[in-house]
Amino acid sequence: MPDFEWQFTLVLLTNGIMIGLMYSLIAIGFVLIYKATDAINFAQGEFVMFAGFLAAGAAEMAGFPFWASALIAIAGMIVLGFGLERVVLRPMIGRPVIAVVMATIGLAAVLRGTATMAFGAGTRVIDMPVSDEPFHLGPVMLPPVELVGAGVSLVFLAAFTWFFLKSRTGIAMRAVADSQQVSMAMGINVRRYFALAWAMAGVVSALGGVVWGAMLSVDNQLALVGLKVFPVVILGGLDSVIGAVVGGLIVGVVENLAAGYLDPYVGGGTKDFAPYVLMILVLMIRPEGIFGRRRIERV
Amino acid sequence: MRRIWGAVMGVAAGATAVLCLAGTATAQQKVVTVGGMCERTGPTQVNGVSICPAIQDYYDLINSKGGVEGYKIKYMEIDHEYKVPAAVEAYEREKGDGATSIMVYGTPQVQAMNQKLTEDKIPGTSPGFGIAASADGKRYPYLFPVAATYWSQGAAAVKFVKDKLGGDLKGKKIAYIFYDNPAGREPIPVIEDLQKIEGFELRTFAVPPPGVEMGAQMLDITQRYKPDFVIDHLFGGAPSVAIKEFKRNGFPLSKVLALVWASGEHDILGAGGWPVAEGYHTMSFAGVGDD
Amino acid sequence: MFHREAGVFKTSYAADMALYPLPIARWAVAAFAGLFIVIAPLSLGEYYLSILNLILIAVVGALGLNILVGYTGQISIGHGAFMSVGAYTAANLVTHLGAPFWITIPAGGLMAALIGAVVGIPSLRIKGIYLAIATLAAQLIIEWTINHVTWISGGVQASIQVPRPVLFGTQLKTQTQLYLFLMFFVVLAIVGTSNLVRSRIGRAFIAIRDQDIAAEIIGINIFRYKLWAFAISSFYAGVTGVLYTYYLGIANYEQFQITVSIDYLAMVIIGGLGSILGSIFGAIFVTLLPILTRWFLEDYGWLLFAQQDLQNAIPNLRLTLFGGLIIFFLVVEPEGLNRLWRNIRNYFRVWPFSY
Repeated sequence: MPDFEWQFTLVLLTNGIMIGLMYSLIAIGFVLIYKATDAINFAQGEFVMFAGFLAAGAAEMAGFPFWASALIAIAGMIVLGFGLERVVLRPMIGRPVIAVVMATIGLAAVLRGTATMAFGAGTRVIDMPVSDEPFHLGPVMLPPVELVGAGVSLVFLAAFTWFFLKSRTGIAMRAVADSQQVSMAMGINVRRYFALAWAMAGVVSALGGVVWGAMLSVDNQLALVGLKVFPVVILGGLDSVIGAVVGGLIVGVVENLAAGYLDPYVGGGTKDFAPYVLMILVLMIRPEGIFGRRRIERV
Repeated sequence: MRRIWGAVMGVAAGATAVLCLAGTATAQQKVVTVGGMCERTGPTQVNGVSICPAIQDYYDLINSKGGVEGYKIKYMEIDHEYKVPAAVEAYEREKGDGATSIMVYGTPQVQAMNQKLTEDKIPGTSPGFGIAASADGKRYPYLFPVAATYWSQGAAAVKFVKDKLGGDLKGKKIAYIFYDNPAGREPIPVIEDLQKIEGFELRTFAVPPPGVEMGAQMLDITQRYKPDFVIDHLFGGAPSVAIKEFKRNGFPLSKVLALVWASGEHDILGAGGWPVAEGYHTMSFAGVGDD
Repeated sequence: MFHREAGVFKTSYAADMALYPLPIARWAVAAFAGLFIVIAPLSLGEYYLSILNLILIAVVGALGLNILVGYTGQISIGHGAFMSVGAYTAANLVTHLGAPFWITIPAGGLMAALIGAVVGIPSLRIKGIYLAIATLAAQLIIEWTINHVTWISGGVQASIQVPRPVLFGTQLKTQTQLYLFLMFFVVLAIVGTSNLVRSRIGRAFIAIRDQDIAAEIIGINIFRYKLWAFAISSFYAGVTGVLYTYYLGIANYEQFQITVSIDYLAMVIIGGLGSILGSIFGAIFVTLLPILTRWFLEDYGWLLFAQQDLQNAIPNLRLTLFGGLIIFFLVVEPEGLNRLWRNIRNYFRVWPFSY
């Protein structure tokens, strides 16, 4: 159907962009933690899931309307962020990378177990007060949920870019990430900024959880979208917020184009496969990603 | 719906237990042990969390009414998180505790257990999944698929579609969306054979695990392929996402038929509740309710 | 007064470089061997032997991963994928060619080693966390490939049923027979690893882990040795996969997904990076954890949870405990159970004259 192909491509592209921005939402949380505390957070997906559970649980158990449960999720995740930083990250300062990685992996398991124990294993719904019917823009359909997610992502992008470039706290955080010892020598309270970074990541995850939960409904499996964050941040650069957004866009578009065009030939499933191949290519050619900073290793 | 369905499976397992009673030596306290496996924390936990308590409830019900021919049934449930080594360990445990029959949960577990059941001569039941070929008693003497296997489900689905589309499938387009793992693929050979017989056009769409995003496949189905009917073989968290995606893309749910594992109450609820899923066709083992 | 080294004088290089130079170490190893190889299979019931069998298979896998992560310092999250490579190779050989186990096990290992070396190629350019993420990608890509390429995966089902191994005409069916079968490979693996880490290659690995730039300066070709590390570790993983296949009766990639890779990483970290005893401890610990949690909760769970929640709680609690224990070990004792064991041993070395 030649006349339909370009329409299909357009549809795939827009869907890719929307999904990509939603991926960026998760990736921004990851980047925040890495940027401030040099820790690779394997539990990012679980943060999103936990936040989703908090929101859905609040809505179900106490009948709060959407806005209230979103706020509860944000508050809960801030508390969680502070607490986790204290318990898990603080002892890990100065340890080799593998220790931190394993600590976050362990954290992921704990979050998954406790979420299911506390909230039960059933799938829950987050009722966002936007309609389910998509907007039609020509052949392209824009589901409102994804629009919200994309919007939130872009807002965060703007906010965090300003934050790290201009605000005092943001610059302090960047200093802490660059060199903890020098920062301490300059009188910056490193611990406070660590905690702040994790709390901010918690806020981002909370909104991510609410949006993803509204799109997909919250259950134990929501955490698996966290694996997608790796191609996004590798592409964009582990420590760049704008990289997270750009990386997310690229991954989203590549996924959709691959699924749309390669799937029929390969029997399906390319959408999981393509971003990782792309990621390996990027790792070989330019490991720091598009916007990341080059790591210089000193002997 | 789930509970009654679980009860059906309980009856099936109980029937097998009765079969075993015929050859079992009398235990001192007239207790028959039936072993079961369940999965409450893995990919299909949304199903397990409803089914497993239902089965236990059903056994309690049987016991409260005096058991089977005077024998109380002791049902042991062990969760294996969809891992085969844990299933083997659970099997050994239940065997060690004197189980007369074992209900296996999960397609790969059934395949693994097949050999062990034959070696140890313990009947195993695999309700609604597992090796569809085990309906052939000669090759699989110790495995009993007591509720519709995937092959039966696939065939029943095609028949339903045929009826819905006016009795003739020639030239119609059917889309088969499935979870990209062995269990999801099992009905495909049957449907493909039926395709040759009935003459409809078939395209399959794989959704990779965990099945929480299928946007591109949905777009492909609804926009590009535009089938006359969709057969939906997803499980776990995927079906509710699928329902939402169909709606989001404006595809009428009355053209979707879900196989057994995508037809649970929680799938509908997960998609936003009954009003959202208006028209969605589901398949169930036993006729329950009229939704 | 277990003075270990007192009174031991070695008079030849061979004696000095022996695997167990101290007589008391030799006695201890012999005693353990006797206990596990002779007494255990005769006295334990089938159920307990089945648990031991699972532990044995895990030991082989953990040893392999420890070579890569503990001795060479490269983080790998792809162990599960290499196991599935080995498993499917063996399964295909068995179903298409009817090969006996003494061919399929090495073949599975070699195939996995090959794939492992390929996965290790990026280590030329990237290291540390980036390499870990690359191995994660490899895990997912290999999974996908096996799922979709039907001549590997045996058709739509993507799992291949494999009959039990046949030894001198008898098929190994009971847990006891399988126990001895697996024990053979475990002993082989332990002896092999012990010798490997004392050899030239092993020392190169340790050098790479400690200071890879310095190692390169003194002339160790780190790229080549990294590839060797990946290959050897994947060989072990492949053999583990084949052993799983024989033990479970099927080869199915769903059993070797990323959770399995993480399980094995936990084993080596909890057990102790860079030690053989650590791998064994870790394997025992991680394999037994879900079983012990279940036993405990079945007997005492009514104290903590309501009855109908209990069944739900068991697997979730094990997940929580698993993660919690990883964090606990990382915080409290980063060198793992091995360090705890060494502390105990050192205490008894000079007891009671510990001053």
